[in-house]
Amino acid sequence: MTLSPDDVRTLTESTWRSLVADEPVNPAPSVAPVPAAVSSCVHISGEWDGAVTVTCVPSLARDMAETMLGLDAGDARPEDVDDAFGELVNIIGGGLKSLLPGTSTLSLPTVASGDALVFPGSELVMEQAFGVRGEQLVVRVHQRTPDRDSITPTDHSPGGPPWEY
Amino acid sequence: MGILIVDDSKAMRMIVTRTIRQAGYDDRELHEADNGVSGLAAVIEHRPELVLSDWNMPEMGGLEFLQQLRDRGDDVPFGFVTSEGSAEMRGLAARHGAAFLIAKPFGPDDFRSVIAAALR
Repeated sequence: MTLSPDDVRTLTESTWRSLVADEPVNPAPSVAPVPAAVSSCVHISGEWDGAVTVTCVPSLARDMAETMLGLDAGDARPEDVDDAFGELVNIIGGGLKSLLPGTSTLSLPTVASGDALVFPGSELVMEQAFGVRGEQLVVRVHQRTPDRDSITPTDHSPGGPPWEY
Repeated sequence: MGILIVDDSKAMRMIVTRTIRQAGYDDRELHEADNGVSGLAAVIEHRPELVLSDWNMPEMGGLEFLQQLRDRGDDVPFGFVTSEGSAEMRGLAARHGAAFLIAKPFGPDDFRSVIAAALR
């Protein structure tokens, strides 16, 4: 079985509804660059090797965390935002992992600055943008290329300066 | 007594708490721990009637947490609430003595019947 764009769309929409709010998460026809982006990431290791990332502007990540944690605007601490944003990719990545064949493990989520995180030894196999609260949320799936043994959490290279929520 | 929620994500513990309340269990005392190690201590301290645990956590994951509980002779009803709901993981959870596995994302309906059965 391979992952389809529909899998990514369905999982992202249901995860957003469950974690944040019952509001539209509209698939976008194309992906635009996300300025000063923050990305969360999980790795899947096993018969299928790769990584799943979620990227958006820091203000959307903070807004999401405040909704999830029931905080007033501006009250989320950076560690709260990392936690909530990490959980978003954890659930999307875990759901995608469940659709993959064979045995594999899911890493704990990490959060880094940068729009298109680079994973040496992998190729971008899927990319879907969503319109959320007037901003863009991008989900990407990277798969290890056959000539590499693995990609590891230390392989990814954040592409920008430290972010501020 | 009450329900112990074990998850390394504070946000997820809050969402599980909210969902349990929405499922109708708003009279239950809820306790929290952030991994298996602190979960073991919380089980001793609070003697919960049900444990809801994440699978993938730092220090001690959910499966080892469950195993250590059973090794101690503690048969508290235990369910996983995890982002991974494959058949393989459901089988693994059941073989280790978990009563159920709820895959994230979830809603109140996912909790209602399994909690009722576990608390019966």
